[in-house]
Amino acid sequence: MEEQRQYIRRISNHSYIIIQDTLINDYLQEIDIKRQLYQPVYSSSSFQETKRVAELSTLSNGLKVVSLSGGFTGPAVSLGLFVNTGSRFETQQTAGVNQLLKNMVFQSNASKIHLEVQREIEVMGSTAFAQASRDNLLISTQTLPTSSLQMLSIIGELTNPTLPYHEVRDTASFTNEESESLSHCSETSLFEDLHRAAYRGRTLGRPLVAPSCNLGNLSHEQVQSYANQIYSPSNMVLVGVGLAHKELVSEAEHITFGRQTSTGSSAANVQIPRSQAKYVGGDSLTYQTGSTSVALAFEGFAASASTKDLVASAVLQAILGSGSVQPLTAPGAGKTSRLFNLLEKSNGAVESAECFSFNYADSGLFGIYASAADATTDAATIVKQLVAELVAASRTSGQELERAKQLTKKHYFELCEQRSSALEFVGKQALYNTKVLTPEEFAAAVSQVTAEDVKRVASKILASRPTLAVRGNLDNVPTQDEISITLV
Amino acid sequence: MSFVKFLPETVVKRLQNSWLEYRKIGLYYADLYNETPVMKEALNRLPPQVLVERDRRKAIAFDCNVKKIYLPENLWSDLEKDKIYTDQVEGVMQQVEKEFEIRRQFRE
Repeated sequence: MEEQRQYIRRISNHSYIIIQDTLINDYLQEIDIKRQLYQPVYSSSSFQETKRVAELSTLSNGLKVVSLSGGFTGPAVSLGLFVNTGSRFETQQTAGVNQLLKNMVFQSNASKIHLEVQREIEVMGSTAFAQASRDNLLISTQTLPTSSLQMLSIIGELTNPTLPYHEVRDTASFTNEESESLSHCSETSLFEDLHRAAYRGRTLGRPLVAPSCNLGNLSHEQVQSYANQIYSPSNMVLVGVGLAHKELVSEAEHITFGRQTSTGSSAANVQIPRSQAKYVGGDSLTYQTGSTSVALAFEGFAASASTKDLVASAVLQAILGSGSVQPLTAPGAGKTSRLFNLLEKSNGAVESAECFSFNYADSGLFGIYASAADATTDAATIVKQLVAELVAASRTSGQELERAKQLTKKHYFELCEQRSSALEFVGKQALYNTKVLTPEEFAAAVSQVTAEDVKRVASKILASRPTLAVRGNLDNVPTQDEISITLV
Repeated sequence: MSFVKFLPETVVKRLQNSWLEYRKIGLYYADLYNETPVMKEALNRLPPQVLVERDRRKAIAFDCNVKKIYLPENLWSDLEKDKIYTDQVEGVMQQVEKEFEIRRQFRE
């Protein structure tokens, strides 16, 4: 009977083979076995969620290593490197070098040519990408645990690129095309305008998208000199998600990070200014047909602010939420947020609105982005409504506050659910602060937020000078004083 | 061609001035290479100033070829500069050949 059962199981995949000499009994057993084979098992999985632990330590060469282990991130491992560079450290002469270096991350380095670099990553079955922001350059990889050591050594090699002349030239033309395509995205351009106005063109206000006019001015020596300075171990943070901290530290000790060659004449020595970002506030008006987009922002909290303030501003962001006229049927999409209700009240003047909150190392932006599909709505009506919402959001209590707190907690947990966003979550904390918190600790801080906290945080945010960026209909744009008056 | 290093220097100089006819129209040795895919990629990688000078030499040599004349002796190409340039091009070509070999191995 056992052999017959095994015989049936082996050939149950081949449904066209007719089993000879089977009795009805065996046939029924076959159906039973198939049902057992294909039935999903929901109960009692052996996979238990373990407690998330975030640890930060520094190696002997100055490299900071941070790891997040535990929790649900799947069986794969995510390794990443945050380099403390970005568009905020550019100057008038070096504008755009960060986007260029981001595109050159997977080009030739001292150990392998570009083809080998990319082929090796693919052969391991891993994925990798590079991302340039205003104050960090992220190299993020996802790989299986068996090849995590190889991936770590690859990351070490990526920090020592050779940057030969022909690759820099080809990447510069590619970066030029990238900038050109990004200039067509009005949301990107709007946020560029917003940052430029908020920080008066310095530090965080420098263009994130490489300006095409300067890409031709970047000489090969300047790029080499810039890369020499940023690719040093003390300037970087190594992040691991899904690895034990001790293992990561002990393996990273053996790997050389950073650029060893210090070539380049002193004539092309590029200065990297590391200055404090000062929020100033301002306007930016751009004429555009087709749609009107408005971004109204105030000075938010830096990532170095206290956790209490950070979570309170996150709760305020959840209160405002986001809204769009596109039908959203699923709950949790923000249907009960203030901005969603604003869309219904505004009778079609505003088509979508979203509350954003950026936390950089020493400054931040908190505001609302709204857009109207046609250019008949002028900016004044939109801004008036946004300001009203911002002021009203500070007076919140009861169930709305509870809802916002729960959503914020869910947001923090959700960030750490995915490996790549968990990498950024933990890595950015390590880049900005000396202490790294797990999402559980953030959630615990959220539970303690009261309506007074939200009010305090909102009044602090609204006390700064407003920054307004408008793209579209410029018929009636309010000045900063007019906005400040309506805020009081 | 290793017997050349055993010849006396005057003989070598006489041979260089008579046998190496490409010098008489201002070219360097590496300018004579045929345009293979490896050479094309190598030319892609040379710095622009080198390519500009190469184009100038090519134009002068073409002119001499059409008129069927040699340049005056003071305009003949310099052997030291020739060696530097040829070594540079050879280096780049070897690098390119290595990369093409890696690419071919990937395909198999």
